[in-house]
Amino acid sequence: MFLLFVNSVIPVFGYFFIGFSRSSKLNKMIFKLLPVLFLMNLFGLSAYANKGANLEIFNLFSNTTFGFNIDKLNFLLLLSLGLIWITFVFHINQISKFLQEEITDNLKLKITASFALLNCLIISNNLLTTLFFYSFLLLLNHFFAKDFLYEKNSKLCIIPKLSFYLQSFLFFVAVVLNDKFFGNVSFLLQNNSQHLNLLVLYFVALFFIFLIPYLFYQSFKSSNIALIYISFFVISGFGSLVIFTKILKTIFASSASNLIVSSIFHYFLVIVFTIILINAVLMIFSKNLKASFFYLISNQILLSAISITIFASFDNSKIYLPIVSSALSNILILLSFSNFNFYIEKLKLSSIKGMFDNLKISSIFLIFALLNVLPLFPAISLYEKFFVIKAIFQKELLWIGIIFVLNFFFIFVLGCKLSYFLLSKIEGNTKNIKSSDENYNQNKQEDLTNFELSLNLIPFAVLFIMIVLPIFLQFKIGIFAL
Amino acid sequence: MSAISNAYLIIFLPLIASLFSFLVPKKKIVVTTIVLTSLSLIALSCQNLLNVLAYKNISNNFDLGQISLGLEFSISAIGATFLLLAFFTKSIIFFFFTKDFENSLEEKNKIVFYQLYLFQFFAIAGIFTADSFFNIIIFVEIYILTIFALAEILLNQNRNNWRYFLFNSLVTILILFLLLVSQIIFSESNISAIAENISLILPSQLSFMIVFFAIIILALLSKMLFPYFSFKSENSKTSKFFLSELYFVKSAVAIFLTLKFSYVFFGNLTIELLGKVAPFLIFLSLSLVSYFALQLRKQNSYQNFFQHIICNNLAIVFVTLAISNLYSLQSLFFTIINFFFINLAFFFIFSLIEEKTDNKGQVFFILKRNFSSFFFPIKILLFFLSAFPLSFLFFSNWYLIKAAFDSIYLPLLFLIVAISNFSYVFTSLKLFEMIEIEEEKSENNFSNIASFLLLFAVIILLFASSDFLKNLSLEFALSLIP
Repeated sequence: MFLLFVNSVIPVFGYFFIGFSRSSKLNKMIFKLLPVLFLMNLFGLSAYANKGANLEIFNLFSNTTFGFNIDKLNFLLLLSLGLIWITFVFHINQISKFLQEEITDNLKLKITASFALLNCLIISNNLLTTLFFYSFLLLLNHFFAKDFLYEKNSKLCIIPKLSFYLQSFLFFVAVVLNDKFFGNVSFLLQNNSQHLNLLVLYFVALFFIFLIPYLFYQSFKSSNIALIYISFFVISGFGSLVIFTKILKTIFASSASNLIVSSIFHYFLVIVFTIILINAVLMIFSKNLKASFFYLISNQILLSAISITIFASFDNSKIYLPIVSSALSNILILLSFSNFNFYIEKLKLSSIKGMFDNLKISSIFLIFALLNVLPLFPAISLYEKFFVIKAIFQKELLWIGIIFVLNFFFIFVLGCKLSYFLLSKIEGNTKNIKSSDENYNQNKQEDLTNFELSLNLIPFAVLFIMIVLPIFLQFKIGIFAL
Repeated sequence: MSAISNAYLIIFLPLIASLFSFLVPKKKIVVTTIVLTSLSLIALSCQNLLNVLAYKNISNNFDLGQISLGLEFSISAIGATFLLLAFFTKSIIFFFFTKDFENSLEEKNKIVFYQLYLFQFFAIAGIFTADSFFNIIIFVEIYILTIFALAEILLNQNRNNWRYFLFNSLVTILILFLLLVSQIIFSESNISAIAENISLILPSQLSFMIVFFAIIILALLSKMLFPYFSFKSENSKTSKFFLSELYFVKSAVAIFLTLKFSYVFFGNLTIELLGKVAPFLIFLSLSLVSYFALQLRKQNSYQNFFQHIICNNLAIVFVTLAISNLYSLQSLFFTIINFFFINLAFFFIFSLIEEKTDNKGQVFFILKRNFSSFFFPIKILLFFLSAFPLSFLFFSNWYLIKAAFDSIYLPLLFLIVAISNFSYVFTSLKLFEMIEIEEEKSENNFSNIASFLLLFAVIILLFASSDFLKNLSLEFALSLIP
């Protein structure tokens, strides 16, 4: 109980501290210390993951209590969250010296708040509590987007604003309907074969902003470091995936297999197919590298949601796999892409042509990241997709199969395109860098060269985890023996 | 103390206190009496509310016929709720404006003003507790006459006052005539007894009853709402008091009387009638919310802001009346609570800001200047205004959505809730962003910490009270449904 309480309090306390303390040194220390403390506490909590623990604080209406709980699924989700958090913290720490202090402080504050909310979201014990924290997360996303992503006074700002509003409203309606149909809002198994439409509503509500990303991107700032919009997308995507996983694992555990073969889900898949197709086409033909990765991440989050549905139908015990895999894969893509983007912006280059010579390690990591999502690299993604493909063949899930093949094809094309650009030899490239060197401070240039090495330490760590994790999961080693 | 003696204390304490103030006309004593009486009445009303939740209905009648003024009473959840709301609102308004009375009233008028104000508590207690048609009219008359007397002292609008007084007298004659008709038809003035008899009415008498019903409601509403517009243009401090009294206390009486006569007096007849006019009410609501959502960009003064939120509230009230089932009446309860707490708080804050500036009405622009001390109460209010989970509007939407799913007008109702929430959220974001910009400049760390802690406390309070509010709303709805 106490550990669960501490677990919920650590990030919140960190947020308040970073928000209100005026000492930047102390803030930096706390910012680094928070995920470490969080993970340390998780090791303590692992003892309760198997038998489960509840912390009930208030009686809420509709026969529920406000409180937190920990079980196997929550524990694994928290572990993924801890890994993402620590990655973000170290990455932000490394690039912070090249960013304005104001931006870094704001970014640190919003990132900490996001993780505090995601933590509460994972351990919340019913849908009402989840709705409460999710609304805060969406509000935070709005402010995140407002501060870092939109062009000020852009008329298109209304699209993301409206999207966030509709996302929260639809989720609210879904929770109300849950209460109406089942008489409670707890994460409990319900007799719900009649209410599959509700599950589709949950899907639409939770992934609303990923269903219209091509509209969403139009209002984004063109010159902003990739990490910022990446953080934004990973955080909002992770939050939605967490809720969807919990709903499928508990409330709809018995009827997920009915959903997969239901006609309403097929209609819905056709819509998702269309959206993924639009995203994929935009991803391939976009001249802007950031836009390409934006669409790629959107697609991966939607596909993870579909994977979660498949796992819920066929192998409920491994339902955490898509979310862990998606979190790690997206982080690897985004970190390696962020390194590129950062380099391009600092050296004021126009494209990534011939960058392999200058950023060999980053290029290799980027290729690894794309191979991982394909999935042609022996890591967590391949482990997860193995089960998905098995289910597709066993149950002849035509539409889902088409969607995954389409995704494979388009990522392959994107990978080829990027490899071509990276490996192509352009004579002017070295000159280009050198000419920009003239305008660039010599010390900073040296910093940046060393920086490439240090920046890739984190992607390397992520890659290592991705390779090792399936072994631990398959053979149930250490804390994965839950 | 037993429930019945508690109710008698609520009725007679203000009467004794006001008699005492007439006997000892010393300003300090009278003011102290008002403070003590109002605080005691709030405490007694809270106790009364708990009693009502336990016993459903508290009533007593010595069967003394028409002379039982103040001796017969019947308090259900609706009466107990409004009693507490009215006492609370009236006391807060008094505390808020005391300084203004002291500064602007002549010495000889001050005592009379305070005595009348105290006497109003008695009239209000009578209106909300009486169960006899005749007694209600007497208490309403006392209340209206004290309002005219207060207007005479505060506003010096002799001509207008007389005009409204004459109008009021004509309406009183009409109501007395209706009382006579009801006495002839039912041979009874007790509302509970009439409600039992009204279900026995023959179909041939139905049209007559509908006309009778319409005239009663119109007469009561015109009596209660008519002088609203006359004091609107006044800018003096005392007229602010008068406006708040009219908007919040008098409207509480008006809403209570309308609900009591519609649902308790006429029962099924009202529900049948509302069912027939439901399309019109829903269309009206949709038009109201859509119009004000389209006007969002032009919202730049606090008058606009109030028009906006009051019309949105009104639209939701129309919708709840149109559906008139258990859930919709629960939604109505939360809309009313929101109106009396949140709108009143906004009214106070904007009045304070307006007081400190020459630029009347343009509070939205003034907020951009040096009013950082108002930021944190506004932030708390924005939490409520944006219908955030566990705020009053959230509960209102929760029950309205539940009610909508039992109605044939589901798509329209869904649209109304979505649009009205959209307006609330966007207005809140607009105000929040204004405050945030100023806060960044002011660097008032203490204000930030205080606002967060206060918001935290409010959220915990909401969590803790959600179950109680749900039960209260259920009792409120049950006391209205025949």
